[in-house]
Amino acid sequence: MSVDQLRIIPRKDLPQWLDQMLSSFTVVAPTPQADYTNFKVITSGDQVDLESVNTRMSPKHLFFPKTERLFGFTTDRQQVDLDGQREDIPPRVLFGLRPCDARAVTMLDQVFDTDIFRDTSYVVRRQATTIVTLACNRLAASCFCTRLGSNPADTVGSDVIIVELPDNRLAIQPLTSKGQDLLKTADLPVSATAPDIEAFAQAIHTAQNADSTEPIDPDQLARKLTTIYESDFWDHDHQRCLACGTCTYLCPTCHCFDIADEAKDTTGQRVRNWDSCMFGLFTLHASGHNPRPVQKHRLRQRIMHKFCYTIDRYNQAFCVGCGRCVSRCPVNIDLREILNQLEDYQGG
Amino acid sequence: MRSPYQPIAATLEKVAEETPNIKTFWLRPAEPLAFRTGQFVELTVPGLGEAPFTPSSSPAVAEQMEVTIMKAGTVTDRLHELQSGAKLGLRGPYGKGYPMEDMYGKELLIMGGGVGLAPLRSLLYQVFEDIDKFSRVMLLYGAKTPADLIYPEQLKEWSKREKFEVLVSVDVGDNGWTGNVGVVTTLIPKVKLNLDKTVAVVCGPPVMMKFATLELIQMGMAKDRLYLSMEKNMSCGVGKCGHCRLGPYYVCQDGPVFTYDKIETLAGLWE
Repeated sequence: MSVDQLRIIPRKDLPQWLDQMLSSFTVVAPTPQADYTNFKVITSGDQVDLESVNTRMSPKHLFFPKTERLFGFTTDRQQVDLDGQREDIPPRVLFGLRPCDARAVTMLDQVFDTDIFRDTSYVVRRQATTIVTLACNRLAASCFCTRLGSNPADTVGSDVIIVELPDNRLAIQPLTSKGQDLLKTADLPVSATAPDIEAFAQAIHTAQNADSTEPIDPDQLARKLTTIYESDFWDHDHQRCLACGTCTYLCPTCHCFDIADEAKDTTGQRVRNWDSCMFGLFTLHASGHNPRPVQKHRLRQRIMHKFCYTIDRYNQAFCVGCGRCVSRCPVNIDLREILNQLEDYQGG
Repeated sequence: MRSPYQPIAATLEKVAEETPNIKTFWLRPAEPLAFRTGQFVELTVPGLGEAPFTPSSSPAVAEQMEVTIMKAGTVTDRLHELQSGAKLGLRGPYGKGYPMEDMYGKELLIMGGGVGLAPLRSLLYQVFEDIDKFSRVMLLYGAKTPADLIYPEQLKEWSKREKFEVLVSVDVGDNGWTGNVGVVTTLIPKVKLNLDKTVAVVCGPPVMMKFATLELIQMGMAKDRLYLSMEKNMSCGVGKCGHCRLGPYYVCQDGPVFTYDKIETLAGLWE
């Protein structure tokens, strides 16, 4: 990482900087919601809450909305009029992402921003967004990013990374041209001294080594999963699974969806909604046949997709270790434990 | 940028009943929609949604498309109520279709079950175009009863074509039925197969594909010359929505046609 663009501001000046940003951009940042935080559009820099490690919802809905109008239609006058009007996405800053969530966006890119059948609504949102990530200086109880080969100061997917220095200052480093443009527009002059650069490097080093957990070997895990598909490994966790889909909705990399029509009389719209492989209807054929008739098959699918099929297709596991599925599962199904058990499993 | 989910308008020009629950629909897209045989399209019924179908017409014709559809769910139920003039939507084509070049020079064994003959009719039209490149074409077709056979007149006509052998069976006959009775695999011993130079194409319900595959493999059919049309719940058609997962594949993009060697080891293949 080149550090010649490093900026330093006192932490107390952050709201003013965000206010400055607001004059040129829509800013979306973690804001307090009862006892948790979520990404919301802010109107003032002092609305941002950077204390909690992860927001409850991942930021994926900002690129891939929970429900989204694809087009509208009218069917009167013996004619179908299709309108492809889209929401206008102004230039925006996604501020205060954690490194796991920023990394997850690069996985969604691989699904949606493809050479053929490019998902235009995703790409429009993505191109309009500059991602400013805040490195983590502590881990939540459910965090396991290091298990996925990442770390609390990972810069993958970020346009700017912010690191908290020990003396209540923030070191702000652009990583991409988008990030540089943001710092210019939001008028933050290069200000770091040689000791600041040293402190920044030290803070990054500390964060990157904060957790010494051994990462999974994705290729080895993928190979093992193909051999134990029919084994008794899958006989237990599904028994308490409620098929509620919370894990997939909170997951920053889960991207399954369904396309449906909503219509009344002669007008309607086609919408794209989040869907979940946890649901029985997800694979139901029109004939009534269902290739995944029971929850055991669906839980297995979730693990196979994240830790085997995406490795085949995209060369990486589609899990960033954000821990949301661990902390919010109503019946305490713990993906970290499943990964441990997978590594230890000797049957086949 | 154009959304990959946005259909083009299509007009329903004609409807014909094939069986009590299967109809053929003639569609005219607002702009020509070229496809390769075996590829599929997403057909929109505005207000009800869309569903994937493989055209049953000739891939040489892009201005009009025929799709033969069984009544099975919300979209198809409404389709079956529609009359000519109805306004629909189409997007596609998607998937890989049949690799004709790999079939040239071979004897072609085509096996269809029920409405599974519909996509195979498109393949047959392509074969008629390329008939010089095939030494022999065998069509084995089965349905539940004589009333469930689709394209009965065309079956007779095809059987008279040079190089063609057409054998038909029903699971249960009726008073007027004088042909073969039994599942479609009972027709296999009735054709003399030269397996070393045969390409097989199978399309039908999962259970029919399973038993046809197992029987042909047991006889010595090469796995990489056995083409299967895999069926899954689909939504986007473009490899993103996750519905049609088959092991490492998305059926919509990597299929829907697979050679058996690519999928034989996949757990849950026939589920």
